[in-house]
Amino acid sequence: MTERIVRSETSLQTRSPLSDIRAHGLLGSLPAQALSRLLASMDEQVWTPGEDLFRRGESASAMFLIVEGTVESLHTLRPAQDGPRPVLTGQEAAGLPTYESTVTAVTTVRAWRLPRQAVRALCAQVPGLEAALVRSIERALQAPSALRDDAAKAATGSNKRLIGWGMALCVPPGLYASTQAMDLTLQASVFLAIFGMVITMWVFSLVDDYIPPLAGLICILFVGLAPPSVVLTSFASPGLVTLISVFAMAAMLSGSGLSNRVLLWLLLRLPDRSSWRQLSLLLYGLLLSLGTPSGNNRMALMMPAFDDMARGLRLPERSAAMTALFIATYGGAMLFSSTLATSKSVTISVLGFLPLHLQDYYAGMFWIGAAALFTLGIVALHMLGVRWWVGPQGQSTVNRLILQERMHLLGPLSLAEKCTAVVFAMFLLGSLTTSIHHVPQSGLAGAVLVGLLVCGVMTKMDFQKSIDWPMIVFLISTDCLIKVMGYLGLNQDLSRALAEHVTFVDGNVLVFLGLTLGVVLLIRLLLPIPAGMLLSAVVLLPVAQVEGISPWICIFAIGVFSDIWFFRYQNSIYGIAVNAGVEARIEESVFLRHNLWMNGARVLMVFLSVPLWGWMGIA
Amino acid sequence: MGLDGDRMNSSTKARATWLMILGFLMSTLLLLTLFNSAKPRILVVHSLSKESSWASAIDKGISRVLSTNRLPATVTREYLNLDILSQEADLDRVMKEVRRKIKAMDPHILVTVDDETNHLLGRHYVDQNRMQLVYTGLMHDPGRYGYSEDGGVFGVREHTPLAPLTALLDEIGRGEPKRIAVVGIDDLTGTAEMKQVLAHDWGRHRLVTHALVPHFEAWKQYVLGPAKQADVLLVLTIDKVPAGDVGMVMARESEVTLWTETHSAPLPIGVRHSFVRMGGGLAASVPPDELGGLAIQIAFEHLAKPNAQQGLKSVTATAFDISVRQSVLRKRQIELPEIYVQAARAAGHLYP
Repeated sequence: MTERIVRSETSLQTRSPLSDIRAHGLLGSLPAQALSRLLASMDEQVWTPGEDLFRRGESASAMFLIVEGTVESLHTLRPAQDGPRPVLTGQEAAGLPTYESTVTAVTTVRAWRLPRQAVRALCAQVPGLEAALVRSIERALQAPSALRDDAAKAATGSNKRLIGWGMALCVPPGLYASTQAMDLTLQASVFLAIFGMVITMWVFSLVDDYIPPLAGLICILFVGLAPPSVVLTSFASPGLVTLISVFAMAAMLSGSGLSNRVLLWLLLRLPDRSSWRQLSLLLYGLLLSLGTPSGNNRMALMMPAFDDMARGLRLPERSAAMTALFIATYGGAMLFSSTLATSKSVTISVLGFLPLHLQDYYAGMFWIGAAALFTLGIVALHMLGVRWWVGPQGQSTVNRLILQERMHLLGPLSLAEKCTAVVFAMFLLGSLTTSIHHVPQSGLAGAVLVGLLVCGVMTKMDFQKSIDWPMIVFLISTDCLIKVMGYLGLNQDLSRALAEHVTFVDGNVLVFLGLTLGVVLLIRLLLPIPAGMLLSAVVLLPVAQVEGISPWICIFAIGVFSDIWFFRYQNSIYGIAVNAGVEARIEESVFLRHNLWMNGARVLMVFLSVPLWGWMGIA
Repeated sequence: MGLDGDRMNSSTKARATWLMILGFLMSTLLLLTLFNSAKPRILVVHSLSKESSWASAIDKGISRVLSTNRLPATVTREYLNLDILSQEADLDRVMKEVRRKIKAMDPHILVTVDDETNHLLGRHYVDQNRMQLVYTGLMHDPGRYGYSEDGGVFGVREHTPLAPLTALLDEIGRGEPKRIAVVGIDDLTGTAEMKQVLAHDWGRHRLVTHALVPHFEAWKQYVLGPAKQADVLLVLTIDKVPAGDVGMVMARESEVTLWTETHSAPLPIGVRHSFVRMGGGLAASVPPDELGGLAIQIAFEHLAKPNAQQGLKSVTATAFDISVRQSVLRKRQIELPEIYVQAARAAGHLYP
């Protein structure tokens, strides 16, 4: 095969990122909201002659908008076009796992770096963009499509993955044979084999989290272990409406640009000091927690804010200030996950285990009141932990010019932002006053969804693309698995076996909280947060009932303790930041020490909240 | 060289991972399919149609037991439709088709419901090694079909609740002895019921006349003729009453019931709940859902321990229901003791 050398040249004048983006044909045509968000993640980089921008086969971590200099691309086929306008390269970051060619600087090259995560987020937001970017690679390579999506990562070779698939192959038959030898019933053995397969796939992260429980359900349907009305029961529950609606609201908060505008506003209004900036990130996290029921989503929404601030402040990598900023970002995404019933989607599912009147009661003002002391305490301990573990962070100032430019780009509040704000406020108000109007939360959430759809704020395309359907499928499928477990009587057996050994609880809330901590930590060693929470609830709620402990305390403690993690695989939320390359930018050991501190803080604040719960009459 | 080595290593791992995934998918599919094909299969064969009150009540009992069962099993129902078969229907061809279905399904358990099914089908499957036969709703002696517990055939016998009926007769009127007439259809079920009636000790009461008639016309003649001399007319099963003496057209059960209730001088008492549901005044019957439930329980006991047949045994359904239509009894100036009315209410068989 003949190799050809390709050159792309651009004018040498320096431009602002906004003007560079606008000068590019494809990116310049993006909507203002998308441009504003893209600006937050762009980073300037310079290469000297002979340096590779990236090499063929390397992980496609970013896309580059070259604004100055000459590059050559070595690959087997034809080049991208030459021209005076900025040139995009590394479009593989839009959907491919690795770069398809090697690009080297011939002269000094200046380019805007767009991280993969930002490009993927942009593609999710702008229909057709991913296809256009991918087509541009195909045009450059003019080769038969070798395109692979994220699913291809399932086949990338790594020892962990190899071992994982081997385990997925061996664990189910092994479990079946061993449980049969233990004289368990046929149905229990088959279920445990299927459940074993699901857990193995989770533990080794063989595929996306939502796939194993769905595969488990299909296996159960395949062998007829339970009737379809039981296997698919949660797909016909009011919880599904609540989940869809809450995710739709979250998507509109982000998609309409409202959350982005609020963050910019906070950054422009708050004093330009590191503690205030960290506080603004926490407040942003609190705002997101009110309407975004997934820690993963909150983290994904907050990472651009972190990038934006870190770049604007020109914080050195691995500096104390950078680490403190990231801790605040992570804290914003995680600290308020138990502040409201709707801050964690799985809490909505767990509440579904309770009688309807209790669900409505707990989901409203009661939750906020009972969780208030915990929330205040955990925020205070977080701030204290930053000061203690990170230490002095030096002086740095935010580039207000860029912030103002971004705010200016957003213009006045759009109709979509106004509608989203109104609908969001109505949902919050409705949720908080359930005890007055007695409309179930699923009804409120459903009304909000219909409102968004009827007003046209959420289009059909938004409905298809913006809602986190995999997360909904994950939660509902996991819930269904637990229901099948209940149908087969396995969770009763589990609870009964546990109840025999926990008579020491004797109605004592503090002892019960200790037991909850132990059970949750044990389960979380194997399961991700949502599945771990669901299984913990199945095991512990009957114990709480027998011991006369308030089910709310049980659910709240499970939610808080589920956020405790020691190993990276236990927490997909931190995984999002790691995927975005945060490891190289912060002092990870400091972050992990702070995380350990916060693990202790969570336990401490739950126990310190007991007197408040006693005063409220539930403990 | 090092980079190339790494790439080769990575490529080998990727290939191995793909193979592993393929192996996982194929083995999972294979194991699930194997499990599914080995999963116990139960075939229930009814003599009547799915819509008939008798078959649907038996199905209800089967479903009740299935709802509490957790052992994975496939339960399929088949209906011979003897009550709605057209005049031209070739019964031999129908049976051939059913036998072909049984062969194709190869059930672990074959449940045959009532005498007709056992006569037409069940008795041909007695000596099957792999397939366990379970009968239910059998009124004749199981030996008639070659069934015995020693031979490994178990099931549920149905006995018309004649003892409770005798007690009921004691309570009707001023307690004087009653003269009893009995009418049924001359088929397998009718013959078996009549055999039980004739063998029963009626105590103070006396059986004055009885007849098994071939069709509805003969039925009418008997009710308007010999039966008139009795105080009580015992109406045997009427879900398959031929309309006339030609062909296989059946009279509707509701039509036979209403005619009998209207034209019978003695008080008609049915032996099926459907007699009251379709317009009659009083019935004492074996609950068919009990027959279905007991049969499927025996089937699951066998599946749980297929090699422990000595633990299994045949049973006779002893439960009975009372059905009452108050307006009809009121018209005949019959007043039942409150306990019977409340029993009918509890069973959901009390009609205004």
